[in-house]
Amino acid sequence: MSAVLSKKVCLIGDFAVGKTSLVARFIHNVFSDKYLTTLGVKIDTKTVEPETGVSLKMIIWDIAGADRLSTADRNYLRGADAYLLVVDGTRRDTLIAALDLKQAVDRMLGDIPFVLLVNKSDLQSDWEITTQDIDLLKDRNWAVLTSSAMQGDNVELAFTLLAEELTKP
Amino acid sequence: MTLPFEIARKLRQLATDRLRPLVLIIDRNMRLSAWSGDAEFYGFPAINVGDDAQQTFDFLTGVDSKEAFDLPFVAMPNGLYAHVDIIPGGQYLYAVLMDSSEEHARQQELQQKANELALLHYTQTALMKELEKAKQLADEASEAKGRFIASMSHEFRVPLTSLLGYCSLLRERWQDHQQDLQHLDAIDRGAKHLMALINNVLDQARIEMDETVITPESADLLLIANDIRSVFEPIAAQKKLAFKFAISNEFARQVLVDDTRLRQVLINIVGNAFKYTQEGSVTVDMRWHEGRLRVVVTDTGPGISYQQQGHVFKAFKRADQSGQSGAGLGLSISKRLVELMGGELSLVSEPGAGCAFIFDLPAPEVNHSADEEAAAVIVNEGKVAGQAGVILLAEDNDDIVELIRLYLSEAGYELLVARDGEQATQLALEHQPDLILMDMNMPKVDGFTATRQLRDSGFDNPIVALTASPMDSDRARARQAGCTEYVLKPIEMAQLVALAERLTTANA
Repeated sequence: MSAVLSKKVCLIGDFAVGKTSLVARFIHNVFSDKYLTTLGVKIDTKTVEPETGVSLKMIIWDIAGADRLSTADRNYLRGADAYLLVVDGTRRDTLIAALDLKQAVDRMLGDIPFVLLVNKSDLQSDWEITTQDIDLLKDRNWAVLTSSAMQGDNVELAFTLLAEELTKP
Repeated sequence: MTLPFEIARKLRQLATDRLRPLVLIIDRNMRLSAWSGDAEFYGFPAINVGDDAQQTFDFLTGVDSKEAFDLPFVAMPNGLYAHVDIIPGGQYLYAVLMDSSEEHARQQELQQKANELALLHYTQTALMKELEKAKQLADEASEAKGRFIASMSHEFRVPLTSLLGYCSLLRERWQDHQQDLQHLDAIDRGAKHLMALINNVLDQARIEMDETVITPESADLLLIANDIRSVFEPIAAQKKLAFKFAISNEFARQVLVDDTRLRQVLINIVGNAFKYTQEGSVTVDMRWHEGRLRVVVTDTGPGISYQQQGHVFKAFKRADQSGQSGAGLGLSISKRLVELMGGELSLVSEPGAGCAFIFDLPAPEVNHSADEEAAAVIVNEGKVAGQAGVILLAEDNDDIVELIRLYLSEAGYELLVARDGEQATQLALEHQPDLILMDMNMPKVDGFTATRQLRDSGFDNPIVALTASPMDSDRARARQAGCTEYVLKPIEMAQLVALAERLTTANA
């Protein structure tokens, strides 16, 4: 039996943007509204079957939230094959943090696949990030999705998009 | 120095117990070659030599064997946290795991608090921004309301000036027509009531907009007291109520107080006492002591229950709805005015025992020098009532022009009339009238501009602003433009004549 293809996928973004909740929704299909900050890294795995037809074991690194990369964060990111860049739609500052983080990741890992998730679409009435902002991000040819870990909207899709990128021939 | 064997062994044991080290030795093909320590402690119960290290240990995913690094807090499969050191060494790669669960828990708690505080701060900042935005909107709405009220005020006051003025004129001419006089009184009462309502609504709006300005000036306290007494004596007689007016022996005549506002408060409170008292008496007790004025207005009216007392000073609230007319603004305005004058207004009452409204405010005595008093006497002696002169009236409302013409002509004045500010400037410069009565709201060139132009051209006789705007900002604007006095419409014709006489004789 041949070994399953494994890829390391990291979640990065400012604190309390919903990274851990996105992983919980994707892996266990659960959601808790209790906020428990992540310190260090939690690693989970899930094997997916994207449309490319190649099974992929996604080794998902849920890295503690921060608006910049510390030395520890850089170590957690070593060898990452792709990442989800997560933003909280209700806090504009988290988008600015995400843009800084992306630049730092680009410098460290080069041009690897990523999806920008503007999370908490269930609270859209409180959003500080506008449709215009999102359109501007899409204009950069970035994969940008709005998501809700609470309702599950676009969570699976975000990971699937990465899986497809990672299993392209 | 080499440690004795026993101590070294003890320390090793202690480190092992505390840190629970697990050392994984991995070959170049990323296969597990060997391990040392309790792998089960970290949630790896079944590992074997030859296992694919990256498949077995997730934290080794993507690791290359070129340089050493560490991962401070990595969650293990059983929930414990390990500090993982990756150390390349020759043909092997070493991964050293040490239990960091306690440290993780401690730091996690601190980080949790820090993040929650940051989120709270963010929420508060966002709320503050929303509040500021809401406040700005409210301010804009309030300003719009103020502008609307000022505009409506003008619309009401101009016709009321005609109404009240002609009532006054007809009363003088119809002395022999008793029935017509009664009808006229009814019209007059209705117009005055309407005027009082408008004034209260306007005052309330100005208070809400913080437009009300208190201007303490030297005021004759005894004169104010006498005026108030004379205003209410006919009402007391009409309602068959006893009216007691007490003034303390120690009573400074000239004090520093806002004359207009003090009169307004007294009229509101005493008027209220008369309004609600059907039998018995109304008593006004005014005392001045060491720079403070204390006024107590008591009545034998129905009184106000303790529960209702909380409402009487609120705008648009009255103690009861027993058919008395009014907008419920008088007491609210009075309380605010007393506060703006640096005092306090309170109420003592019980149902069936009448009311006592009490206020106390600073009224420091003004000491005139002997020279000033002498000068005042000379000016007073120089006044000759009815001395004729030339008055220019700048007014675009025909009814008001006609009314003022009648009164001033009877007082012996020659009247020039201008219909707009431009005409007023021309006539004034040409005829140099002794006095100008200037409506501030006129077509082409308004009264503010015309006054400013006249002052710039060297015209220095008195200019009286006639206006329907009660806004303090307009009053200040008129003064800045160069107006000598500011008269609010509707104009009491007798007062206007008296003002004209004062200004023309003083200027003569």
